[in-house]
Amino acid sequence: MTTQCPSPLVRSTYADGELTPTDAAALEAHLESCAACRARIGALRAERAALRALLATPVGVAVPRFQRPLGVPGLALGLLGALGAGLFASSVWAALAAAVPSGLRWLNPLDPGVLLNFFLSFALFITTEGAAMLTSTVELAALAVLVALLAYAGTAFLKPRAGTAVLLSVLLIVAALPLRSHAFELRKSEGATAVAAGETIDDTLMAVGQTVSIDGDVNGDLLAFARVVTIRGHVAGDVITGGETVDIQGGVGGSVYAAGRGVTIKQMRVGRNLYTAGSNVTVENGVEVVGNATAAGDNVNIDGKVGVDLTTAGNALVVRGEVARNVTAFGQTITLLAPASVGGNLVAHVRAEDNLQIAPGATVRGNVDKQISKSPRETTISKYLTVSFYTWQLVRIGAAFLAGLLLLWAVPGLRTATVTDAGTAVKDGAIGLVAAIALPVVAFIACITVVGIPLGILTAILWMLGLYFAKIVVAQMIGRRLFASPHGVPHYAATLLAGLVIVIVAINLPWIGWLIGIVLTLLGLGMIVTYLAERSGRTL
Amino acid sequence: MTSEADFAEHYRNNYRRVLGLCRRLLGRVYPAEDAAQEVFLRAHRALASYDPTRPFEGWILTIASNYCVDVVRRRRKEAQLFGTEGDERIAAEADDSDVLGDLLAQERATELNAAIAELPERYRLPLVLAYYRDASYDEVAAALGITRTHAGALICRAKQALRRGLAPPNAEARTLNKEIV
Repeated sequence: MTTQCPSPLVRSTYADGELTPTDAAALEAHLESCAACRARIGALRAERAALRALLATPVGVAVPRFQRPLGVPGLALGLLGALGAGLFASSVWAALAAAVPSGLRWLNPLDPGVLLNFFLSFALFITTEGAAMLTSTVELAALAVLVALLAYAGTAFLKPRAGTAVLLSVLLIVAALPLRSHAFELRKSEGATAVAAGETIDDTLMAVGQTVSIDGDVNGDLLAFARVVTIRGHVAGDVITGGETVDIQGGVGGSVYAAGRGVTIKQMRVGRNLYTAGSNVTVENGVEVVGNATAAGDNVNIDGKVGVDLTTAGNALVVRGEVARNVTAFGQTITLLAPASVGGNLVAHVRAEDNLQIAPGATVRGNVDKQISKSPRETTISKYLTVSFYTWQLVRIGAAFLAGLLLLWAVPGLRTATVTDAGTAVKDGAIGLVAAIALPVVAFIACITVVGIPLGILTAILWMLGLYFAKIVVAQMIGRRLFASPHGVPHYAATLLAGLVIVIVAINLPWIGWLIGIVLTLLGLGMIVTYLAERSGRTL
Repeated sequence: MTSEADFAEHYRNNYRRVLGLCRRLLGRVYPAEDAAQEVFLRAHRALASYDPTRPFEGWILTIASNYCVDVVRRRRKEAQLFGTEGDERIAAEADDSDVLGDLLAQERATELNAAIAELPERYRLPLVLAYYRDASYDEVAAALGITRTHAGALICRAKQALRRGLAPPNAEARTLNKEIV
C-alpha cells in the first residue's frame, strides 16, 4: 500500500507527539513503507531534543535578593524613612537658608509656616462653610434627582428618544434652580439692580447689573458684580464683589473680597479679613478691619485701622492708619505718614535704599526691616550664578532620590514603567493631564459634603504625592533607557539617580525648563495612573 | 499554605529557570530581570492558591508564561499577534526545508540562541513555550489564546524559520531569509 508522504506540518506535529491517535496510526503505517519519511522523523526528533537541551541550559547569573512586597512593618519603616528624609532635607535647607536671598524663601516647599497656614485656612473654611454647603448640596442633589425622575417618567410615557429625555431633564433642572430662593437669591437687570434701604434679604444674594446699589441689609453672603457697585447696607456674611468702581461702607460681618479699578472702603467695620485689589485701593480713615488686611494695587492708601497684620503690594503705598501687629509691604515706594502706627514689625521690600520713607510722627513699635529687592530681570539672570541655587538643586536631587528609592522599593512595578512609543507617551500625558485636573476637583467636591472631608483631604494628599512622584517615575524611565544593554539593567538606584540628574537639569533650563517640567510631570502622572489601572486589572 | 521560608527556598531554586523563560519569551521587548521579579511578586501574592502537592516549578513557570505573553501582547498592539491559523498552516505545509541536523552541534549554540531571539514574536512565543517547559500544544494554545492546530502550525513555522536562518549562506537561503524578516 503506497500512501502520499505526510506534509511538513504533520511530520512536525508527530515528532512533537501531538498528532491525534488516528492520525498518528495512519502516519506510522506510512512510515513502514517510506524510508525517507522515517529518516526525516528521526531528524525532527533529534532537532527537538537539541532545541530543548539548548533552551534548558541554565542562565548563569547570580540570584538577586527577592524584593518582598511591603507589609505593615515595612510600611511603617518606609513612613519613618520618608519622615527622616523630609527632616533631613528640611534641616539641610534650614542650614542653607541663610545663603539664599530672602526674596526666594517662599520657594521653600518645606516652610512649616506656609503649610500650616494652608491647612489652617482650609480647615477654617470647611468648618465655617461646611454645614451650609452640605445643606445646599443635599437640597440641590435631591431636587435634581426628583426633576430627573419626573422627566424620565414623562418621557418614558411619551416614548421619544433618549436624547430628548436628557435635554428635558437638564432644562427642568435649570428651570428649577431659581426655586431654591430660600437659600439663594439672584437679582439681575440690564440697568440698575438695587436693594432698597429698609429691605432685608435673609439669604445669600447675588446681584448683577449695570449698577448695583445695596442699601438694605443682607443676612447671608453678598456677591455683587457690576460696573459700579455701591454697598451702604449691612451684610452679615462675606462680601465678594467686582466692578470698575467699588464703594463699600456700612458694615460686613464676614470677610470682604473686593476687586476693581477703584476700590474704596469707607467708614465701616469688617468682621473678619479684607482682601482687595485694584488700580487704586483706598481704605479710608474710620474703617476698622478686625482681622488681617491684604491690599494690592498701583496706588494703595491705608488710612483705616487693621486688627492684626497688613500685607500689601503695589507701586506706591501710603499708610496713615493703625496696624495692631506686623506690616509686610512690597512696593516701588513705601511711605508711612503721621499718624501711622505699627504695633509689630515692618518688613518693607523696596527697590532702593531711600524708597522707604517713615515721616516724623509715624511709629513702628517693633523692628524695621528694609529689604532691597533687585528688579526681577536681574534676579532671573543671577539665579544661575549663585552657589545657593546649585546647592538647593543638589538637595532637591537628594530628596527626590531618597523619595524615589522608597517609592521604587515599595512599588517594584514602577521600576520598569515605561512608554514604548510616541502614541503611548501622548496617551499617558493626556491621562496625566486629566488626573492633574480631576483629582483636586474630586477632592474639593468631596470636601463640600462634610462626610467627605477625610476622603477629600486624602485625595488632595494623593494628588500632591502623585505630582511629586511623577518626575521620579520619568527619571527612572530615562535612567533605564540610558543604561539599557543586552546584559540587563543596573540596580534601580543607579538608573534613578542618573535619570534624576537629567530631569533636574532639564527643568532648570532657562526659558523652556518650566515647560519641560510640566510635560514630564504630566507624563509621569499618566504613567503612574496607567500602572495603577493595569495593576487593578483595567486597561486605559 | 507555603511558609515564607519555603517561598524563599523556591525563589532561590527557580529564579534562574524563570529568568531564562522570561528572557526567551520577552526578547528585547522588556527587561527579563524585572519580569522575573514581577513573576515572583505575583506568585507571592497568589501563594494561597498554590497546591504544595504539585511541583512549584510548573506553577511558577505558568505564572511566568502568562505574565510574559501578557507583556508582549500589551507592547505589541497588533490585533492579530499570531497571524491567522489558515495562513500559518498553508505556509507550514509549503515549506519543506531540511531539519537542523548537525547544525545543532554545541559549538553553534550561540548562533542558535541569537536566531531564536531574532524570531518574530508569533513564532518565538509558541516555540519557547512548547520546548522550554515541555508544554503540550493544548497548553501553548491556552497560553496564547489560539487554537491547538494554530499553535502546531506556528511551532512548525518557527523551526522552519530557524533552519533557514542557520542554513549555510547561499543565495537561496539569503532570499528566504529576507522573506521571513
